[in-house]
Amino acid sequence: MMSGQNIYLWEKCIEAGREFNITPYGTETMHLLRAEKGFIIVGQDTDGTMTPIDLQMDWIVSKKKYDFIGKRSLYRSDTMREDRKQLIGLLTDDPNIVLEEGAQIVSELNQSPVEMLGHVTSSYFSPNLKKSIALAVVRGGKDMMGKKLFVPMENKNINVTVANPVFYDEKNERLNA
Amino acid sequence: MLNYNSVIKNEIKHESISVKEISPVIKINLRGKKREFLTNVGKNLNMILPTEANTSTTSDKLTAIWLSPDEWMIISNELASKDTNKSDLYEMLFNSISKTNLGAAIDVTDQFVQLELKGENVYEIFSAGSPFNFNEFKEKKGSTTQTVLNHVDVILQHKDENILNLFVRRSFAEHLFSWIEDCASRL
Repeated sequence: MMSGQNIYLWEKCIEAGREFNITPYGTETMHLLRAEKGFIIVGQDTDGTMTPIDLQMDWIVSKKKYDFIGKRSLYRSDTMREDRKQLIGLLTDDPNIVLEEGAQIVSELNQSPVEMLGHVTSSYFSPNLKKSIALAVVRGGKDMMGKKLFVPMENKNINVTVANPVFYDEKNERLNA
Repeated sequence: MLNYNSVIKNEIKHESISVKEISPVIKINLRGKKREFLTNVGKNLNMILPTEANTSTTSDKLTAIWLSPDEWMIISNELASKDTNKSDLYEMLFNSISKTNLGAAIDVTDQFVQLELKGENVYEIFSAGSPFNFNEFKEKKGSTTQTVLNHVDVILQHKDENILNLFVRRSFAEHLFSWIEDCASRL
């Protein structure tokens, strides 16, 4: 359609949807919604080294196929290590503190040199859940559910707990309703 | 065009310069090289496309701006009808040029915003924001140029003494207009 007609179309859509409580939403909302469901953004939550197993997406890898492109790489010693960076969810002890994306995660604050376990990949405040949520990749993260970790920032250390990366509708009841 | 919404809502009116959007105006980008293309266009538009670089030709209803050796922009001299989305001009060119593989006719009506700049200080706007030398341009009616104004690509056509048509891509139009408004207020 002509760009010059877009406002007319928009107004007509809003008018037609008013009785159904139509609400426009944009890309930031979609970013937040997907994070609440634990859906990754390739390139934001992942880099080129990550495998589906690291992302807790084992279900996507066929158990039936005899062979497939990439199968060999999943069985290399490096890709089979237990302490690879794995996708986890993070919840801050103070629900109003939103972690910074890229912030490093540690388990010990008083070590020197401090061992960095991983980093925050996505972080938002969820008005739906009324707390901050974050996705992160942490070494051996899959086995750390419930563990307390720290995100050291310039002026303070933020206490976080490792959680399921699916923060909302874990059983997909609402998704499949 | 039905339910059309102009990009630029206001006008600039100062003593020595005024600027307003002219819309909706049908604009067609024409590309073609073959002799049959030029003949066909000449016959259908009842005008000759300019072949000299950086010039334009005008008939009663249309203006043709040279953009490159095989590219022109055809602009209607009248506003488009508000009662219909159909453009006889575009349909005629599409059927006679694109469909016959003589060249390409693309409707760029909404891609470009047309601003008319008028006034004795109109070239002062460009002195600060454009590297182009307007000395010859302002002497010769029908001159056209493609340059940058405040880092934004523009097509300029010398319509009459101290009257210019400026074509800018729609997504840059508001930004450029507010820059021109700021300049005009300082003249």
